Amino acid sequence: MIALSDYLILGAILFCISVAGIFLNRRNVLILLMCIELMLLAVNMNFIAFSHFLGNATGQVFVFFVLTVAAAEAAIGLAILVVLFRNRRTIDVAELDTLKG
Amino acid sequence: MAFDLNTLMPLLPEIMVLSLVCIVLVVDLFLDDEYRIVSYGIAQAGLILALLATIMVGKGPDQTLFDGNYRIDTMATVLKTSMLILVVGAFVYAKDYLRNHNLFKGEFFELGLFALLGMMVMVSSGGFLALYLGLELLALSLYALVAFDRDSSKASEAAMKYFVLGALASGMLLYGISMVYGATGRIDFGGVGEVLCSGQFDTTVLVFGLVFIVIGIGFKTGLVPFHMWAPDIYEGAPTAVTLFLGSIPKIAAFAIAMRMLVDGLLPLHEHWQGMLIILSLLSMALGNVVAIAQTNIKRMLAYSTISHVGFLMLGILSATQEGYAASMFYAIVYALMALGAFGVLILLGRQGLDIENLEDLKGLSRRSPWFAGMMLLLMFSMAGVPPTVGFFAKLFVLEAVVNVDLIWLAVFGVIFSIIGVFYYLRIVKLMYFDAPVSDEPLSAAIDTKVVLTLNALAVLWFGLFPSSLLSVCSDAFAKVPPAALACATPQVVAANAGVSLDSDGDGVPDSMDRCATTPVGLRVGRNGCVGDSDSDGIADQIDMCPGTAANAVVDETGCSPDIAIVLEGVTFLSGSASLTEDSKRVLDVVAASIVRLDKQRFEIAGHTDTSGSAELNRGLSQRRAETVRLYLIEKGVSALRLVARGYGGAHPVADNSTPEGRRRNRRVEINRIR
Repeated sequence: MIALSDYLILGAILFCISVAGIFLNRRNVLILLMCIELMLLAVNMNFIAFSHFLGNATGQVFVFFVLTVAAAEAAIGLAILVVLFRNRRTIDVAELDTLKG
Repeated sequence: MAFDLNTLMPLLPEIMVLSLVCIVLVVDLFLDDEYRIVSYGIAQAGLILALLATIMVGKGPDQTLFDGNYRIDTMATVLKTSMLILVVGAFVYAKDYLRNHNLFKGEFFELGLFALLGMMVMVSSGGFLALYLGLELLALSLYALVAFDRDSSKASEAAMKYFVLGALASGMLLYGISMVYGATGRIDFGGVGEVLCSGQFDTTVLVFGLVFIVIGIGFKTGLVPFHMWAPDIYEGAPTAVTLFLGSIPKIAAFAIAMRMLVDGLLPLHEHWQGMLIILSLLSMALGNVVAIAQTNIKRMLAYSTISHVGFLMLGILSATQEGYAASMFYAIVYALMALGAFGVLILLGRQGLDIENLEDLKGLSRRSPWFAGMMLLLMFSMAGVPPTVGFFAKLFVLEAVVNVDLIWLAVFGVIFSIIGVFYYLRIVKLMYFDAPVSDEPLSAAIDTKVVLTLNALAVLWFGLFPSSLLSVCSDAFAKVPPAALACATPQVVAANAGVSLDSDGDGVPDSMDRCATTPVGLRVGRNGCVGDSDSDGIADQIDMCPGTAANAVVDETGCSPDIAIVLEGVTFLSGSASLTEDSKRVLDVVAASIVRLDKQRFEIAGHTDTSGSAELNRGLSQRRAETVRLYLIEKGVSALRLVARGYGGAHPVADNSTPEGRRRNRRVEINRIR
């Protein structure tokens, strides 16, 4: 029997991988998009696990909304990526340094 | 849950904005470039209509809709009203800029309106789901807006950074929400609050979730150390977009912090207060200090935003009614000031050229003394110089933290705001004491100039009369309990506030009310009770049968449910259908009773004795029944719920041969129509 804590630990690991990916990645913007997607899936894992163990469906409904929003988010992200590539001819994260943040 | 008109009416402003976006979207498709102004006109007209709808809906009572997921309350109404007004202003400013930069496309207004819709959902959200959806609608629209100038390399880089950090923030927030859901099993703020008060939850999981929620709020509002995106996005985005995203979303940011932390997680106040103190202290410090080093005015305003958001959080973290009101005041006022400041930058811009550097403001007083004066007002207000409104905004939040004994925090706030005065006054110095770099007159359209003037004068006006806005803000939180009493019953909260609660709304305070559950709308005696002479539990004022026997089973009419209701005491002058004064008194009670029984229909049956011709009797009883029906309608009963019918002498209830029997047969009955 897999316990609730196992699912939560899996969710936390996925979440950490995605956050680490966003901050450590210096190569490619596409990988950032993948990390963001992974992060939302980690959250979904949490919601589903809680929903199952609490015996209440609210969490699963929430997941449907998160999935929909994630799709819209990916669409906008890729659109911005295309614009960026047209203007810069590169999608290297390290070269996104015109603006000093 | 049914989707009828009553549930959808309170959403009218949101529905109108959504329809507006669709209309602009379709109309814009069929327009040539030179008629693009039509899309703009439709958007502005629709915003004004939505503004009227917001005010109309706001006049109604507070409501919680869709199983607690959506709230219409004073805070939502006031914030939506101010957002709608500011969006109208933002569109006026943006129009000039977009024209000068060949960006005058309908998409700007569509995305702006979608962002507005997202913000309206955020301020009205009653649960995490609605809040998340509103937030994403806002964020996705803003990402696209930042990349609006698609040939600008800077703008696309800014959009990418904004997108990645915004998505990261959403992810953090969601992770926190999932933890709160796991600990409480609820996603509506009311439900979460209930569970927290019952004490049946896992504190570790919940506080873990709270940390992520606060980080999410920090990212979205731009609090240090989650502020990295703000200066880059402000600088990279077209000024018209910076104007939009730098002003109005701050109101929504305030709203989500209030909704999540106060409406939902108030019992965890001691945990989130500490986190917010750190974030707001860092924001005030870093924002004000780093702003001094900026030469790009948009970056400078970005750091100024960061420090202002730090100030704004002071009110929320004090967790008192005055604190919330002060923060709300600050949010609205800041949005107004930021809108004006970016409006000046747009006003100074020329064909295809952005105002970016502080040098561009040099000598403005010689090019246009009036608008230099307006900018002066706005800068004084941002710096917090009286009598502009910025001074009062800071004063109120500082007062709120002092009142909760965080005096050291207030002292730091004052110190940092004095440091901040430097870079605002530097702009004033550049405008008034330096020689202009160009002598070109301002070329902006007249409507931009008018709106900018109104905008700056509003800053002065609210500064001279701060109570006009503050009282509105205070009203919004009159019912929110102080943090220490988050889980107390309404009675305790009321007693603590020094006011006595009147839970049945009869005008007699609970402490003196011996009948604390009288139905709404009845006149009560000094002890808060209503007369009930037959002790059937139905007050005399609405009891159709005031003389039922003791222990008789009665329904809401006060009569036995099985037999016809004979209106004792409703009599007529002999042979006529006019009501006597005594009868009217009886019928007043009947009307009051029927009005309360929503939807039940009644037949009013007129009866006579058998003396005289049957034809005559039926006519007379019909007229008497009609008279009663008309009287009841006059007293407020819906005409559709009443039918009058005359039966003549056909249904006697007593012997017609005795005078007593005939008297009992001359009667009016009321029958429930099933």
